[in-house]
Amino acid sequence: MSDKKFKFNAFDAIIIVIFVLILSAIGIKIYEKSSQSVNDTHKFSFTIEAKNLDQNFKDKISVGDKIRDSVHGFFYGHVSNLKVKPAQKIVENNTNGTYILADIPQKNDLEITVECKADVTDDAITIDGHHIRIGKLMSLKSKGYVVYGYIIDMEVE
Amino acid sequence: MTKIIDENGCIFGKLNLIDFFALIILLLVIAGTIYKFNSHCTNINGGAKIIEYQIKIQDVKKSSAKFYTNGLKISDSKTGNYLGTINKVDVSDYFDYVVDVNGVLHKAQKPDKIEILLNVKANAIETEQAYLVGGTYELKAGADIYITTKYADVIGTVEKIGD
Repeated sequence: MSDKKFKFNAFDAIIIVIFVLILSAIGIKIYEKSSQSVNDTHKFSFTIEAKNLDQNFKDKISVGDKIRDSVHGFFYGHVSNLKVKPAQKIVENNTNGTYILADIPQKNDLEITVECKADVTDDAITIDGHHIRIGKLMSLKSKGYVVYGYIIDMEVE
Repeated sequence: MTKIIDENGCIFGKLNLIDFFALIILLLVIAGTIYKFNSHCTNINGGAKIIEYQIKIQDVKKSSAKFYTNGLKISDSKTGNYLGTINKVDVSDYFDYVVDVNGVLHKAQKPDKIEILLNVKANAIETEQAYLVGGTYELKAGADIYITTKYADVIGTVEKIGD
């Protein structure tokens, strides 16, 4: 059996100090991030625009439906408003070189407003730790349907 | 003749191999860091100064205009570094080019779409090679910039830096 003794030398000490400094820096960064959070919980609503849905799809959605995130599963809130519009798409009119808003037959665009509670800080609005921002693609589900759309509006009370 | 590595794995009998390699790696990291910061930091104005730059956000819905206001802070959406504060917002209709049947390009307004020009004020370090904001973010006119604010996460283009 080897009777080699472990010798702790100056270089081992330097490496340990550097390791401790790196761990401290990571710890400080994590602490700063967590202490920035949750100053305030507010009543909050966001509206998504789900485009180009079948005409009958709107019948599946009702005010009061419980809405969850369909990817992560956490609870958002309830549908507070549903606006149904004929589906439209921006297309080029090559006859005279303009853009027009063309109706898509037998399709609807839906604006779904979800009322919930959100944590609001100076830097961000979050629900269950997830940032909510204009233009974010949302994937929402309720008991009988899933719907995708970009956030087009939001309101903090 | 003294062996370079003795039977205990120590270089010249003093420093063990693992410590030696760790020291080499550490020295390389320090040298690399110094090199990287030196290459950015030939500071030509002796310190940070306030600069103004413009970000253009194009082809976004009209309804998003109200979410860009004076006083809103802008951050780099990849690193979270602070890139400045909005001090002016200009909103205008968005135009793009459409070709007609004769192959002629027409500048046409896109329905319900706008263009937003943000004037941003930030502390920057001016070096010989770049304007640096938020520590290490290089501002370049013409480059895409990925920004977040409290309300939005968007890609814009740096239009102008300074006057």
